[in-house]
Amino acid sequence: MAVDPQVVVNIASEFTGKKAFTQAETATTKLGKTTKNLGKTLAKTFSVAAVLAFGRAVARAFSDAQKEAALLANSLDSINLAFAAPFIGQFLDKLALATGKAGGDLTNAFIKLSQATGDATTAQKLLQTALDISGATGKDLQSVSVALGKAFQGETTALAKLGIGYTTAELQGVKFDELLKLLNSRFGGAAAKAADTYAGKLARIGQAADLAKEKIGEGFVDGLEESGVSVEEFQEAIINLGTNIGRALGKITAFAGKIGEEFDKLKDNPVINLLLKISETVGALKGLKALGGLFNSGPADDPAKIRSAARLRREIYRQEQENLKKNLTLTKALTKEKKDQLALDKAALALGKGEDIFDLDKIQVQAALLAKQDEINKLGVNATDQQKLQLANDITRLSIKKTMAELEDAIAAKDVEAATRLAKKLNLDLAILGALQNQEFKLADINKILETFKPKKLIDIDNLDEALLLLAKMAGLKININPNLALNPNVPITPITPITPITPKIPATNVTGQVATLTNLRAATSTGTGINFLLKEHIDTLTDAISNNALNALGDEQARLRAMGIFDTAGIGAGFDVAGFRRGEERGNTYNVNINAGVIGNEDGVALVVQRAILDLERKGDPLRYTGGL
Amino acid sequence: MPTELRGAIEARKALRKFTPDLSKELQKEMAALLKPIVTVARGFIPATVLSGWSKAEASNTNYRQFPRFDAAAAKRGIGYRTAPSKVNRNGFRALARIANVSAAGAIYETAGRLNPQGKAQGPVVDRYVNGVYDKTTASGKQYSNSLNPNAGKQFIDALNGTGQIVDANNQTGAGRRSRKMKGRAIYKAWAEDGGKTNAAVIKAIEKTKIIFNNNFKSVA
Repeated sequence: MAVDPQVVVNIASEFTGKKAFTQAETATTKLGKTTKNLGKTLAKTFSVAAVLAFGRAVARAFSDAQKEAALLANSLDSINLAFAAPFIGQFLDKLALATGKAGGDLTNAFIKLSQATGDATTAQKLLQTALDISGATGKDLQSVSVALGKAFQGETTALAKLGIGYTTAELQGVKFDELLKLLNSRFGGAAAKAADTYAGKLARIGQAADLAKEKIGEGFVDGLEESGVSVEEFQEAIINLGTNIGRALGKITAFAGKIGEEFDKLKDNPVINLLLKISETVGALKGLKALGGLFNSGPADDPAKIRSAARLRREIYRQEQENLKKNLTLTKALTKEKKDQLALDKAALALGKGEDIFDLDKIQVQAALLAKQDEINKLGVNATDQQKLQLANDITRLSIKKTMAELEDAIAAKDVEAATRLAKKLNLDLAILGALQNQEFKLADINKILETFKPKKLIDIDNLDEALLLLAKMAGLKININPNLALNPNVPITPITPITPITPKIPATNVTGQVATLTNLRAATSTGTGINFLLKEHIDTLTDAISNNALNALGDEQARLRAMGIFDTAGIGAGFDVAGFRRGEERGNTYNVNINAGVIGNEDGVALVVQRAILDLERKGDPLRYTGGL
Repeated sequence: MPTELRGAIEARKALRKFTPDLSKELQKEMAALLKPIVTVARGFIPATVLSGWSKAEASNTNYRQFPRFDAAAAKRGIGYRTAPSKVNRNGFRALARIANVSAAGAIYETAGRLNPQGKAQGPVVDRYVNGVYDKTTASGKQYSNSLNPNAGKQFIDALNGTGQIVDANNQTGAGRRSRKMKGRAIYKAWAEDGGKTNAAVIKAIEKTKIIFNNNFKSVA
């Protein structure tokens, strides 16, 4: 039954998203794009707007440069090198001019590398290598920097994925210093060559223009501040300008059909285009003048500046060393942790593979089959190949199950060594199982597999002599009373003669015969009858009597009596006089025996009493012996 | 206003997938918490409200009639759900609900919630029929369609005679309160509960989540 949302108490609700929100978001994005396109169209169409766009561009360039500088400072601050930010900024600007790469790209790349290495100098070196690789392979600088940063931390997969001609295995096999040498030998100078091409030179000029824009923007903001016009006032002026332009556009749109054509003509007019280009070039040149200050920041032989720079270099070196130490410790810990995790992950992966194959019901069925096919388990000559194959398959499955259980325990206990070993075993078993299921194994291989699963042989009749010899050998080695034996290992070891079993006085064969007779008699009686029960008791008594324990106990008794000279031999020393021994024990004691004869009557009376007693006994039984006698 | 949880739906899914027993246990626990509220709410349904409302509906009509009030059916219609609901139009899913699903029960629950004096009749408007303009009363869902201008008020007064509408929204602070937590049966029971069951249900879910996470950690 449907629930009316008006008549329901919702308990513990969760917000899971709303379709309308997504639609609104998409619509906003579309509107943004449309607006942007409209802006572009208008900027192209109206030259006044193009001039304004240039103004905005320089301001944005300056703003972006400020953001990049702040980002760089923050990044360097995280590795305690914030004080070096201005110098690194200059380095990146020069690098941008030299290579034609965008300053923002270089800054981002440098930030990634400095975060990975924790060392500005190494980051600078790696940035150069990254530029070379980027120039040679055409990959973007950001991806190359990230990959190099990861390689520095020991993860070379990303670097290999760049397609630089080395596999992950090759890169993992070398240390980072060697890897850097390899990369430099292969890609070194690629960035310089790229910069020397026509496109590279154009990019460098473009970069200079960008820097100029930044400087123009900086100058523009400074100039605005110096002029005494507040930013708010300037904003208001711009908004007013926008309003006026909007009005003008509204009027123009009304005549768009005709006026549009006129603007298109104006746009194609070479004179107007030339004027626009001149205005942009002048702006760029002004920016370049401001840029000149970057390279001529003061005389190089100023002693104060030299000392300051030296101090700074020392400070940078000291900080970098500290960072290096920290990174080393961290890297070691991370490597160990990663290694352990990798091993556990591999084990878990193997376990996952095993779970796909394992089928509890199937294994149970196969285990039942295994029990029934006990004779096949011995792989007698009568077993067919198909039976052997099936058997090997089943046993391997069981082994997989066992290993999986052990592996689960090892993973739970975080025992890396055991997990690794068991994972290997599991993989091996799985491979065998896979091969068996494909029936690609030869019979000899199947026999080999089955042999590995056979239980270890214990001592039985076949190997009893061999086992006794081995035991004797072990005993001889451990309890060696013959010094020559120990000194001369060539002397053969004489096996210990086994103890002769004590022969009982009563031949067991007689008793065995008795048991056989009684058993035959019992077989002739009905089960549950008294005689049947009595015969069983006798048989049990006799059987117990000829048991090994009973015979051994009897032998012990006889040995003791024999030693005392009271059995069948004279004994050791003088004979033992039991009666004399008892008398001696009781010597000095006086024993008085009193016999109370009571009243003696006539013989008939006594006979009558005895007769009555017998009759009562027959009628009523003996109440003293049987509870509830009849 | 229902309390918002985060990740509860995912937690329920995970419970059902990995520990079905725990999931069932949670449902049982939630059911045990919600059942008393349902019992109390059913107690607020009167045996009769208006004698005419309980009369049998006319047969052979080609429109949906005003539903007949049957106290037993209205009581049966009050129940609880412990399975997560569908997403409502505001993007929310409820993990547990107490609902009044019978039509007559829902009317008893909410009548007078929006218009305590009943809906007014529509205004008199011109009507053009067969070439002649005529005066008529506007009709529609927003108006009372009865010939009796006081029908709505009389109906609501009769319902109020058996049970008053109670606001179960106990939220404090700024902002407009929704009228949608007001009613005579389930909302009244919910208001009387004072949020104890709500807290207990959330606690049960959170507790189960913790047990599940602990189990999962111990296995992993």
